[in-house]
Amino acid sequence: MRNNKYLLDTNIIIDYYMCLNISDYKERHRNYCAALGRFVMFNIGSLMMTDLTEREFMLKLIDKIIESPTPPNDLDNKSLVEYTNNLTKELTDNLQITIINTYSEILNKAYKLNLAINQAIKDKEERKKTRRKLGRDIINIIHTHQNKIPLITRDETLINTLTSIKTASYRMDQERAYGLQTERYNINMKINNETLETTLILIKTQ
Amino acid sequence: MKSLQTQKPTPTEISELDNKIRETLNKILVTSLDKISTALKECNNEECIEELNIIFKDLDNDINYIMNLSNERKASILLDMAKASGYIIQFLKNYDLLNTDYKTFVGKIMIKDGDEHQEAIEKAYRLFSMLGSILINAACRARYKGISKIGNYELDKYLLLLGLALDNMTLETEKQLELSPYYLTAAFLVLYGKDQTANEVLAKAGLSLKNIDNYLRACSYFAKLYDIGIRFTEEDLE
Repeated sequence: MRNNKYLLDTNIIIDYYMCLNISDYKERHRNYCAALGRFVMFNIGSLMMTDLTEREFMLKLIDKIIESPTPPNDLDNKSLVEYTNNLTKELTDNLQITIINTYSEILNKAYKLNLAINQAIKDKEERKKTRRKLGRDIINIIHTHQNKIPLITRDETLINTLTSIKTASYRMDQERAYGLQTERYNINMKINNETLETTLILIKTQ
Repeated sequence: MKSLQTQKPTPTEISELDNKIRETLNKILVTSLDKISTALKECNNEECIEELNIIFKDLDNDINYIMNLSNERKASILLDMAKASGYIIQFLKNYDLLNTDYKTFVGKIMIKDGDEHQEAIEKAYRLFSMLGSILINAACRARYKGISKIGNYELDKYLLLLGLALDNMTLETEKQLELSPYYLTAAFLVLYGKDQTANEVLAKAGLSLKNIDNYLRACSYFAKLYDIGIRFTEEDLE
C-alpha cells in the first residue's frame, strides 16, 4: 500500500473488534486478523474517518447498548447520546484517528455525482437501486477524491456498484501489505466536465 | 486506563500471577528460555543482540528437530505443551485477564483427564495455535484494567509481545514467521526491564516499543467495549 493515509470505513473498525474479542472469529481468520492488527499498529496516526462514519459508529454503539440485557454500569445518569459520544471520542483518541468534516461543498459534489449516475443509468428501477446501494457512502467517495486518500473497506457491494456504472472506468491491482490481501480500485468517473477520481482498497479475509 | 467493572488484584495476587507466568513459560519453551535468560542478564549492547541471534538459530534447530520427529513423538510433545499452557491460562482466567468469550473458549479446549487420545490431540493443536491470541486478549485487558506495571517491567507489553510471537509462529506466511523471534526476544527483554535493548531488537523488524504501546492503546479500547457489554457480530460487518 503506497499511501500513508487511509480513510476508514465502519466495517474495518468492527472487524478489528471481532478479531480482538471473539475467539471463534479469530480462530477462523488467524492470518487475516494478525495482518489487520499489524496494519493498525503500523498506521496509528495516519488513520482518518469522516464525521459521518464517526456518527454511524456511534449509532451502532447505541444499537448494541439497547440490545444488551443490562445497561453499561458506568452509564450512571449520563444521557445515552452523551455516553456513546464519549465512547466514540475514546475510539478516535486511542486510535489517533483524524476526523474530516462534511461541509456543503462535499454535499454539492455528491449531488453532482448522483446526477451523473442518473444520466449513466437509463433504467429507472436500476437507477433507484444503485443510488440506494451507494447511500451515505457517496460522501466517503467524494472525500477520497477531495483529499486524495483511499477508502479502506470490507464492502464488496459498494465496489461492485461503483464499477458497474457505465461511465466509470477503473483499474484494479492486487496488493499485499502487512500480510493483508487487498484489491486496490482506482476509479474514474466523468461528472459534467470534471473527472472524479477515487481509490478504494478492498481488504479480503480469504 | 481506569478499571470500570472489576477490582484490581492485590500485589500478592499479582506476584503470584507473575510467578506462574514465568514458571509456565519456562515449561513451554524449556531449554531455549533458560539460554535466553542467561544471555539477557548481561544484555546491553550489540554483542548481546548477536548472541541472542545465535540462540534463536539454536531454537530454530530445536523446532526443526521436533518437526522431524515421528508423528507419535510430536503428538506427545504437543500434549505436554498444551498441559503446561493450561496453567497459565487458568491463572489468566482467575485474574480476569480474559474476556468471557475467551474464558468459554479455553474451557472448551482444555485437556481433561477423561479425554480420548485423538480428542486430546485436537484440543492441544487448537490450544497451541490460539495461545498467542489468548495472550493478546489478556494483554489488552491488562492495559484496560490498569494493571500495566509489575515490579520493573510492564505486564501488558510483555503479554502482548509474547502473544504476537506465539501468534506469528503459528501463522502460514513466511513473512510473518520472520517477525516472531524479534517479538519473542523483545518480550523477554521487557520482562527483565531492558526496554532500551528491546527497542534495539524491535528496530531490526522495523518496530519499536512505541508501536507496541500504540497497539495496546488501540486494543484496550476494544477490550473496554466488550467489557461494558457491546457485542458486535459478523452480521454487523455487512
